[in-house]
Amino acid sequence: MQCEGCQKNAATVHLTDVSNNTKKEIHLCESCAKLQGVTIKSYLHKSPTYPELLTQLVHSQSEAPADEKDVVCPRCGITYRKFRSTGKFGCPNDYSVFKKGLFNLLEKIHGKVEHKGKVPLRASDQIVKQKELRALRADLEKAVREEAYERAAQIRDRIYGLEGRQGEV
Amino acid sequence: MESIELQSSGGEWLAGTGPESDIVISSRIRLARNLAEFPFLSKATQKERGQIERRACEALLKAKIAEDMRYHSLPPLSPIDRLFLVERHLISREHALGKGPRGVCLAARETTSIMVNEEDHLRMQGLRSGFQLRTTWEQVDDVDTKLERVLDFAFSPQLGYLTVCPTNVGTGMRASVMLHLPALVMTRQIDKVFQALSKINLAVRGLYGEGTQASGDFYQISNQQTLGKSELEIIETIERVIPKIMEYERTVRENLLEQRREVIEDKVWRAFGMLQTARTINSEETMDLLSAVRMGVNLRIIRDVEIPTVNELFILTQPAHLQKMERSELNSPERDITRATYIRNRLAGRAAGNGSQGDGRGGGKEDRKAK
Repeated sequence: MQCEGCQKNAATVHLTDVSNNTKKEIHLCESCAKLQGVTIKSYLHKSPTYPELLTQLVHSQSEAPADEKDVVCPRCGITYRKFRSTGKFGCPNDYSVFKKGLFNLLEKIHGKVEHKGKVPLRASDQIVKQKELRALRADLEKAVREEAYERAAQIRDRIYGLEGRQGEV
Repeated sequence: MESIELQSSGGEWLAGTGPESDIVISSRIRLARNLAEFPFLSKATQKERGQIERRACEALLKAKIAEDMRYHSLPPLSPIDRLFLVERHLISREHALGKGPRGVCLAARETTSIMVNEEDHLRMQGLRSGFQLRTTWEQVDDVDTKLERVLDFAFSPQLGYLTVCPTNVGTGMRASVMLHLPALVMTRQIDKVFQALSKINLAVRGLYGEGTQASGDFYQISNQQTLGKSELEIIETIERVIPKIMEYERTVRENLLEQRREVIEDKVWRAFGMLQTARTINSEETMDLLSAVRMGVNLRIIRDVEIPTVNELFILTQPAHLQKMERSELNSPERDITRATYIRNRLAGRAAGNGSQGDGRGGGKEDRKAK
């Protein structure tokens, strides 16, 4: 199919415009589409796999200082450099050994660096308590923002309860 | 050699009975977990892999996940049996093709599967029919809780569950829904959906997950981010977005019926006709035609075929399933003939199973339907 813009290139962008119940199809080549302000994104057919994506992300980072790249995990023996090239850790300990460069990366991937989900039963009560407190504080902020003061007071009391404090005014 | 029994009915998720099952095929939740005292599999020796597998199996036995729980070690299984598990979405392709001690534990009518020594030490999956992420999450959460009573998972208070790949750290959870979106594909609206989804950090993949092509107009939508949100928050994000896509697909279907009824009916009936009459057919063409038939059944264009039959055909016509039914290894041209025969028989309302009974003739019922 020929591009309806330049009448030269093959049309690779197909637009369907429906207005007043009339459907209009427009077929353009990529450059004409760009000229008309169409953003092209090709999905699925070549979306990067996770390791690819990760490697790209890692490479897009500013170079870590040389000394950091050579940090070695005493437990599994992999270096930060090795992790960067494979996108895979060697053992759970790597998360603390490579902490410095890692947080930057995790923020790029996930947008956040703080776990908010399930906690294993075996993890100490302390963790559970801290998590709950954090969640409650967020709820409290939200309640205050929404001017739901009664709910806010209840949440506050629960926070105090967890912190082992008496209710204050 | 150990062999996996063929269940003619397929897993629960194929039933086509779950909520919104005209569009949502299945809901899936998987959790990645690692044993704290072992290195990740990227660094584990063969001996350690064996130890991890043994530890996992002991834990599975102790945890009593379900009555019908069964562990299959993969190395003793034939390549066909392994592919069979892939086709049923019970293990990943990588797991089937992997090396060394590894396996899968199946339970609760295949709604629970736990891969041992895949990318992470454990990958627990819940898979259910239709749109029911929450029920699926509760199921996997329960399995995880039972297992963590007997296993010590690698966990950090700051970063959550620690995984081989930093893309899974935190909840270790991937929640996904498989959608059938033929009308959006037909009208080329599907890209718009993908664009919108990528803006809210949801990924779109093909039928068999990461790195696979979309086929049969099936798309899997899943979360990309695993850290910083709770499991339920992640599920809620997907739960909010799916109804919008379903509505979009349904609207386009209705518009098509209103404005281009002949075009859509023609597509559906031609597909149905081909499947009823073909003498040799490959997997890809089967998927495309079944997709049109599935839409036709949902739009009540075709009235005497049930959705579960179509859903089953998607799976049972795949290479390993065909070979298991035939109880022999078949090369590709042989499979295409077997597949065509099986589909003809099935659509003519004959019993499933031992495809050898196919005589190559469709029977009178087909003539009636083909009008």
